[in-house]
Amino acid sequence: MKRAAAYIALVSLLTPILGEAASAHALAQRYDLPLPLGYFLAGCGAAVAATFVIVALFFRKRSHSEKPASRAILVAAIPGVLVAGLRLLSIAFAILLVIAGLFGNPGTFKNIAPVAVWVIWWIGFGFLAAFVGNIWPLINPWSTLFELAEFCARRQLGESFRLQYPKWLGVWPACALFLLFAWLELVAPARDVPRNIAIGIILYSLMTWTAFAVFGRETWLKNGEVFSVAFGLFGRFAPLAFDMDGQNRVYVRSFAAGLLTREPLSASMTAFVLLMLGTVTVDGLMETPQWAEVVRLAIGDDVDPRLYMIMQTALLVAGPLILAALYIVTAAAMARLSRSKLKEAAGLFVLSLVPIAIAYHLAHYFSLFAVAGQFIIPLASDPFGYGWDLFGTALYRIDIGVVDARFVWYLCVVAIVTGHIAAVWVGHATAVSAFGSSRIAARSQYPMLLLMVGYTMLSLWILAQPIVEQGAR
Amino acid sequence: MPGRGLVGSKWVNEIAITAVFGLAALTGLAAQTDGADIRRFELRIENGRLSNNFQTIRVRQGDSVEMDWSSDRHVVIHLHGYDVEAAVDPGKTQKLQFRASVAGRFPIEAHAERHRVLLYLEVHPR
Repeated sequence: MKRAAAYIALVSLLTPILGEAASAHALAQRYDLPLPLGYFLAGCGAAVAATFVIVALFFRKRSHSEKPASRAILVAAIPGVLVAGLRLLSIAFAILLVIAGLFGNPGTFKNIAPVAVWVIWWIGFGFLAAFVGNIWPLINPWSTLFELAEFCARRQLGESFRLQYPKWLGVWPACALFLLFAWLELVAPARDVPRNIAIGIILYSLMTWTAFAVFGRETWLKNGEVFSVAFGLFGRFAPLAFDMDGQNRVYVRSFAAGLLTREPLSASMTAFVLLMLGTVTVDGLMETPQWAEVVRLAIGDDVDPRLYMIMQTALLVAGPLILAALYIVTAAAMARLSRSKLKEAAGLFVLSLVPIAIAYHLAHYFSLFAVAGQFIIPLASDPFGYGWDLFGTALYRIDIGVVDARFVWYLCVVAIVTGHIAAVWVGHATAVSAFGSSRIAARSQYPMLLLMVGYTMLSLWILAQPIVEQGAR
Repeated sequence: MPGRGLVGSKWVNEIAITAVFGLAALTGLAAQTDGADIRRFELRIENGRLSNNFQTIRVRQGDSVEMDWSSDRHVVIHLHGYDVEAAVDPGKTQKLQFRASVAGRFPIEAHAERHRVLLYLEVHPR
């Protein structure tokens, strides 16, 4: 009881910052029907069957360690005008969002900031990065503005107080920022309030530019700019890859080819991948009736929003940790079977889980994106909520029936089974290229297959649960 | 907020439903069955909660839904997604009527001093 009181006191400290919780409907409200049992079982069955088929067909064959799939099929230059145009647009949008958030209508759906940031940018950009290509390095407004400032000043900013980036720090700063961002996305009570979003963007900008100046822009983009790291990870799955090393080129490759790696990932990057996978799953878990039951047992029927927030935070931290523990056990088994080191095995194979996470992300967010994303149509005409009608779309009404329920079910099962197959393929291809001998490669993958089948089934299981909302305002 | 009933009975209900159109749909055998029905529900709110043990109402797409609401205090019932509302005063019965044209799972909230999910409406595709 005393501890609970202390928690409440702690959270009360945060409340003034978070402001009045929006009494409007939550932005991320989903209307998906639970996946019917038949689809769930069919999905699980297909995943297991596909695993056996792939093992039987490919794991015994003598594979070549040189995988042509990891190479680009086509390389093309991107016109400089296009890049400049996109960068300008991106900066303009960033400024628009901040101004709208600060001075526009405070209503969640009457201001362009919440929908643009949470639905169009975070979800939409994630889809784009995963299925088409990650254009974030092309248009990153923080990076462009900093470059612009350096160009105007005719010198490198921050040279006088430049610090050597400590090697041991790796991408841990991005990990910390990602956890914070996930908390803001999934737990923070007033995340839909336009002003909070604008303040968040401003604070993040200041922090990013300071870090650019202190450590160098390139270094921070690689290690600390969390969206570059996150979209970069999703972008490894995509068929298009953009090279921004001064030449602006686009590479076409096969899906998931970017996930094949010869060099083990660093410990911090491995952690980042697991963190991202873990939070995607936690997002789904938080809406299941089973979680609601856990909450009810822990804090009773009358859900105190603050205690509930603490429980969500605990789950958000525990989820990725549990996944990491399972992964380390799996990697240890793989290392043993392939006579390699744990650190090597862990760093090599973590990327093979990414397709499952992308598939779950698509299944979880597809209909939300299609439904809530429509809010951008009226908001484009009236971004500040002042009653404008710039493009004549201000009166557009959202069509909640835009995607068919049965279509979403099919999409869920097909996406997750396909993601699973891609994961098994990436794992095997990585093992063959790392261990040479296809016998050892095959043997090393058995623990991983177990983890993948489990992760896939968990994803399907979450989708088969009816969505339950808690802490209704 | 949802009690044990939802968890316990879910799979049993799901088996029946999916046996009819889940598996059938997967094999492309989903047959167009009978037309739309009129579905009536009587719902009473006591102390801000539903007194019946309803947690999820399941109807089929195209059905006409009629809900008769009564409450021990003033409350506004809001069905999300469809965005229909009804103000319920104590001692009276208020009808909430709509055609379940869009499939999905929609929370029905009571908007009193705070918003609380009373139950869910599941509209299943035919």
